[in-house]
Amino acid sequence: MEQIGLWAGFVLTLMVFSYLLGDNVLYRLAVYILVGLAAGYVVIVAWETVLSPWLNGSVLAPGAGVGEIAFGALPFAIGALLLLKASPRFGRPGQLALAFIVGVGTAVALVGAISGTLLPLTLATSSGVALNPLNSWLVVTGVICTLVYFHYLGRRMPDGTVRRSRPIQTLALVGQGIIVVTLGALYAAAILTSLTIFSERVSYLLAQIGGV
Amino acid sequence: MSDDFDNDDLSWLRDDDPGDTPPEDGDEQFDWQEAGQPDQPHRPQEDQLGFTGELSWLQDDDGEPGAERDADRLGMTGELPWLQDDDGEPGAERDADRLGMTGELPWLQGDDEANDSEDADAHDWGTGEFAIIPDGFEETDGDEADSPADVQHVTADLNLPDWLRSGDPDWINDPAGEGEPAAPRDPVDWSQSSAGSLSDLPADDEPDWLLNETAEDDTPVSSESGLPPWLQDEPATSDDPLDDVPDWLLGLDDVQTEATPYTVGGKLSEDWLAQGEALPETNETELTFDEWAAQQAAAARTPELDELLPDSFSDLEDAGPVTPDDIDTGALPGWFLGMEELDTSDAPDWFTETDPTAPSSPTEPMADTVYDDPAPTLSLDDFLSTVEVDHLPEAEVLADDEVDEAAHPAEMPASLTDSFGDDFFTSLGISDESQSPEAGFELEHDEEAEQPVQEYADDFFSSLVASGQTDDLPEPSMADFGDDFLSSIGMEAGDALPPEAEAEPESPQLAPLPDAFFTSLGVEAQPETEFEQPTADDFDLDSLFAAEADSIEPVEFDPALPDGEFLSALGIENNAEAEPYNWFAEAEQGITEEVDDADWLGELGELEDLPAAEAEPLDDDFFADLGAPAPVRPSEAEFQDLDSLLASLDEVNEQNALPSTGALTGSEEVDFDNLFSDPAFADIEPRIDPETGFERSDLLTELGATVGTASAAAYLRQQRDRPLDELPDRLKRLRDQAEQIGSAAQPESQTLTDFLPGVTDGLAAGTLEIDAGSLASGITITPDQQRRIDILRTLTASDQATPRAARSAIDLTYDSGFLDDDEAFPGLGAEEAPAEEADLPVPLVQRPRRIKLNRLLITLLVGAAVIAPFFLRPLRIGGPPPVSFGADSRQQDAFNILGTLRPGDFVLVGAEYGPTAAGELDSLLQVTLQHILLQRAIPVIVSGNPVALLRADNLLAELAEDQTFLLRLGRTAPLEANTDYSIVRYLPGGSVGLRSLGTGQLTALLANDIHGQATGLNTLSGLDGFAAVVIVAERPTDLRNWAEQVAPLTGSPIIAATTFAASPLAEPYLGAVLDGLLVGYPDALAYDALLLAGAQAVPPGEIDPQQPPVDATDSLQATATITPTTTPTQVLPTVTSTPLANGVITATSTINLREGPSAGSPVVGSLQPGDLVQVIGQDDSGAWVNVRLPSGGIEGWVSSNLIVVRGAGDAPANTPLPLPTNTTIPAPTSTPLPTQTAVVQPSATLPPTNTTTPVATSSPTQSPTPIPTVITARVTGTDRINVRSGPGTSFAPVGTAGPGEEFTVIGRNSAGDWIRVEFPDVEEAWIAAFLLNISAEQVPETSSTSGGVQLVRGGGIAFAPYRVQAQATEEATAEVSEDPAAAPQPQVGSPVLRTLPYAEERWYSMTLGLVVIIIIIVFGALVNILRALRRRRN
Repeated sequence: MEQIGLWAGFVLTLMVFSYLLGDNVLYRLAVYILVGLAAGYVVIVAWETVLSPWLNGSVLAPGAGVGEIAFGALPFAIGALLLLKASPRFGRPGQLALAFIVGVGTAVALVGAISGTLLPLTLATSSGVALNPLNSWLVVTGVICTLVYFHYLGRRMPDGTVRRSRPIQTLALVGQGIIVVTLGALYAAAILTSLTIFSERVSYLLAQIGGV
Repeated sequence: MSDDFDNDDLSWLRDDDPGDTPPEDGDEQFDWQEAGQPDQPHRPQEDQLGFTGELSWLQDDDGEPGAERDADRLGMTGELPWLQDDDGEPGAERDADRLGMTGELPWLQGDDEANDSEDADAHDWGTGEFAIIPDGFEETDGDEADSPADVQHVTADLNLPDWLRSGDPDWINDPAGEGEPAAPRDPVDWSQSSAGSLSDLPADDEPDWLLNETAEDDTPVSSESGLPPWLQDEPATSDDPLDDVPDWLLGLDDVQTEATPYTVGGKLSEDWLAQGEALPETNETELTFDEWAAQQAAAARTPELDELLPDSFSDLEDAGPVTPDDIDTGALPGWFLGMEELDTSDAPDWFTETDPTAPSSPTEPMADTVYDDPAPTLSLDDFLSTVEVDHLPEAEVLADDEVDEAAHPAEMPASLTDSFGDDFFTSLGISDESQSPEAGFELEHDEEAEQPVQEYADDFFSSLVASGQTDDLPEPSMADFGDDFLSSIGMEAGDALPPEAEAEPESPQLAPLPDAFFTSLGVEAQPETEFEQPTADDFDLDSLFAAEADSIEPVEFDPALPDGEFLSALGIENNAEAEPYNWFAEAEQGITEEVDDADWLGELGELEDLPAAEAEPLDDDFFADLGAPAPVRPSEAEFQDLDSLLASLDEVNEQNALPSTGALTGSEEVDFDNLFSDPAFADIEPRIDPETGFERSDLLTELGATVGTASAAAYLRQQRDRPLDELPDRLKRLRDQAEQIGSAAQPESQTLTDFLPGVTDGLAAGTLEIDAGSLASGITITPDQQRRIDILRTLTASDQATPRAARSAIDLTYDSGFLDDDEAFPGLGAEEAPAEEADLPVPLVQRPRRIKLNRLLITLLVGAAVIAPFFLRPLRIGGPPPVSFGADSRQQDAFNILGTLRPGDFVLVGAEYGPTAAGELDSLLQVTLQHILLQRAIPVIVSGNPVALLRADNLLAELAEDQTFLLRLGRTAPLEANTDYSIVRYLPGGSVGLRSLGTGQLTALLANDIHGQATGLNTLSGLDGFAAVVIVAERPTDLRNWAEQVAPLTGSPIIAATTFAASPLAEPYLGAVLDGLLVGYPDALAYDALLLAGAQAVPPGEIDPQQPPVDATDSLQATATITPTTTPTQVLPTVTSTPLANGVITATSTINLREGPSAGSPVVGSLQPGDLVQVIGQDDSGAWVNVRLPSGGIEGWVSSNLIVVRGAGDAPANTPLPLPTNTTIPAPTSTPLPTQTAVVQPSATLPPTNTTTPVATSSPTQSPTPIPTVITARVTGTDRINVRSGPGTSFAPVGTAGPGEEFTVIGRNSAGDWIRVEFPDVEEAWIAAFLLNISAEQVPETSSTSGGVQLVRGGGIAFAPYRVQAQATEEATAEVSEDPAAAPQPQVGSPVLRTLPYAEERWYSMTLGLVVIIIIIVFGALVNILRALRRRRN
């Protein structure tokens, strides 16, 4: 069984690599298989790890009272409302569930952004100024210049054009350069990631061919 | 038509038969025109008018004044009954006629006072839209140039008014019949005209139908034909022949503009021609008629009705006209596509019904729903027939099998009301009941309002209502109105038609000349600057006829014309020679005759002198004689177009009259719902939107459109802007249908979509099909005529009216392919086709897929670069993978954090990656999990990505069974889920799911693993219960979510492992949220090396799994105390063996081992690829390496290109290389081990020498004396193992080996996980590496001694406090470097065998691949730079 799985992976890898020759049936078939399997697996995992435990712990729990049952059924009721979104005619009740999800998600993200990103990064940047002045000031300067680059307010000139002041333009130019460097780094990193994955697949294929 | 039709009936058409209608006044050509008073303009009588019925609109349908006749005035465009003078008398009634909707052409009219010759002269028909007149109309009666030889011959049915096509319409130019040209009239100065504004009209001039009055009492009607007196043979009221000309034909009284004679001496004047040249190149203007009318209406009305009435379709007016590009390419505008998104299933049934009687047309009809194609699919023939023949008398006798049934309206479903209510009419501009006709029709001049001709067509109706003239409309019956309209938009009608609508007209009707007629003659009504108002030429018939004119191809005259009667009937001298009449000769010759009475239209008044109507209805025989197909019966064709629609309004029936509407009458309440109260529309029930109180259809309701806040069109446009995937399925399907329609609308689809271009603003473009027997085949003109037509067309800029961007109907006809049928269209298209090819829209042809060579080359290069290092060692460029992290690096911090874990600690691991990143992150997850497990901590794995859980499950399942790893753990039993590790659960919801970890339900969340088994993690109180958090994330978003949602909730250290791609965005979190960071495969390699280097061989069986391990904390404490006490004296290389380097033969085939460092030296042995040798030196040049075979101690020299030296560093020249032992990883060999025999007290008194012993830091200065060393391998474990014939379990076993057996190592496989050993009686023997304990010496006890150096591969490895190891390494290195006798020992080139498969090969493939990519990028950049320079130079 293990060998079958390995060779199935081998064949699927080759099918995916066939995309180098262009979009073709083999590639699509492999993608469909992978996506389908992943979707099916997600369903199973969701049931096994999310839904089933929840039900067993609430609605189906021995001796569960009305409160527990109601509380346990609440997520399913909200989920059922979401299903109504598929119908334009009856989709309005689904707005409630959607609003709940969006609202909670936004609130969680907002709180998390403040507590997990904004404050820590701000503190880290400010504290680093004293510890590593050069590096930290570079970071601060880069951040400021990058933000200035996205500053679009300016003064409207007589000819109708809107121009920013010269200092702003200078800072924006620096910020633009930083953005370019950042994007270049991202691109290079993406290439490295692709190479890593590619080399791993090649090693996998060779291992399969070599029977190791 | 009766079969007994006699050609004698055409006597009125003849001019060569004086016996029938002897010409008077010397005119022999149009005797019927001159049959009346010789000095009075004659008008044809009813039956004498064009047999094609084109002039039926000139007739009065019943000859009786009154409401019914007034209704005729509502005829649209061509029908223009307002052009009629029903009573022939000036006065209020006549003035009221001027209010005809199109003209609407009040400028064509003259006030009563225009009867005087002075005013008539002031009207110059030589200018303005009708300024361009076919030269045939410029001729005078007395022009002898009209020789019989020049007579135009018509061989087929002339759909054009033949009497107008005659070469000698002297009744036009010579009203007096005296051959004296009349003085040209001045052009109309509309800027000075008051007629354009209805408000300027005197109250008493309002027509009776405007005042809801009838003209029964004061409208004298001819008893014979019902024609107005001025059209009949009534004597003129004055001597001036123009007195009898209707005022509106003579121009307005106040026309002051100086005329430009269009003829001088009977020929076109130079000035007039110059005007033609000065005409704008295109008739397109910026404003459509709708816009213009809307402007006019907006100035005089309040849009309350717009706001009150539901307006589902009016927004379509705002969608903008169909651009020429749209028409040209066949693509429908976006708003139309949006409209197509309507679901056909929601459409009323009558929308989806198809006409069962529809013939098999060459072109398939458009989609069967109104949303797909609300416009009708009309045959051009049928359409024209409806225009021209719809009032032919006794249409039933015209029954002809060739009649196109498709063009005949079928039954009109009663469910029409489902779709058309007030909304529709509101969209047409009827929105204000308070609007007065005068206010709504301010015909103020606006040059910008000059619009393309075609744009006016569709807007007629809307302009009608927008201008308020609909208020003056008589009350049409619903049947009259609805059927026609529905037919015009492609719906079936018929049954619902009231009887009177279906009734055949009893007598031919005399109707005003349609503007299209002139256009058909090549006279394009081109607005000039003097014109301020849209004209009748601007309506659809113009474009229609223009299209027909374009389709006219010269065809040789057929001499077989029966008896020439027809031509004579047309007033053409028909000679026996039958040469084509060159009625354009004057145009070609420059027009030499002086024609003063250019107001040939004004001479229409002479029609009054036409002989009395005696003609019988034309039958099929008549047309058969002409070789033309019979026209369509009026009953079938009269409601097929918009023109006929409005014409139908003339046929209002009092009994079926619609309820009064304010928009129509101006005095009554607007209520179009009542309009549909007809039983035929009983189903109409306005759907009232409870929110807005407006009507809306079910269709819109289901679509979610809210009428009042958003119209249907607006909603659909919004839908269009949405991504396709987000659209409801119904809209997707409709979009697909629309796209199909768009493709079907390609020119090759043989449809014409622009004959009513403006209509498409509100409705889909109608299609006009050209099939056999069309007008194109019916009209035959000579090449000479065609040439003259072309000249005229050029002069009138009619050609420019259809620029390339806006293809005309005829262009599309040529493109349609119908004309490819030479039989059906002889002589057509053959010559002009090449010229038209340039205008043909290029059909969308799917290009064949081409493989771009450059991309293929790049792909192949990169692929080869990545794959080659797996096979070709020379291509393994660059250094080997790193084996350690730098001090204080983020990687080392991560390593240290996990190194602090104590047994039993829980570590929260977030695996947030999918299959796409598995190739990179699997290795990182593996090494971190190994580290956690080696620390005997318990990883608890969660993820928001279920696939990542699956990957982690697979990895841990492998580790759980990995004997090597188990040996490193010091245990033999596999790892157990939920005991040694837990793969807990999937956390859906992204950030919300992660946030749930911080809630009090953590215990519940972690209660079960992904297999549903209990995890036993109920002891965790919260996130702080985890000793550390490890995040293995693919995307920066995942990392950020963890940093935002989990990090603030725990005080435990957090490390992250991510990909190269995500690392730039993960860096900012370092220090703030993250305490360590691992990036990419190199860090995984280094981490793996550190794990392996930190291990120490432990004799199997010596570790009791149940024995509590040494507390790692104690080890750390020991480290903390040891570090400062380390002294150089304690840093002694424990390498007691001869420092040697290993070499691996990298050749691909057997190589020779030579006696000396040259190719000429004798061969002393041979080496196989992959053989391990001991490197003992090299020559001065470094080209040769002195090696010793590990098996027999044979020494020799091999080329350095064929061997890779590991751990040698710079070998001294000509001297045996002082090499360390087989490891270069500094390992604290005396690190406290959790063994029973090596109990370490966790105290600060730990001897520093136990923890700071540097390993593999031997100095080159040490004795270079090579000591023969044989690499041996000892079988570990307690069971016998298989010795196989190849490096893999798939190879057959060749023997077995027991625990403790030792073998000589002679090689290994490329992955390093199989060792080739010498085995008795077996050529090849391989043993899995993890089952062997390999050493460089045959001193087994060295493996357990503190100074022993071993290959950290195989079993017997115990975990070590790696933090101590790392620090010790650093310190030892520093201390060794302080030794002047010591040289820095490179840490690279370690022969450490990694647990990651193909570790080195992958590293080299990545390196070479990256190099190739960089080369490609640089090369590409250089090429681009050179290109740019070259381009700039050029």
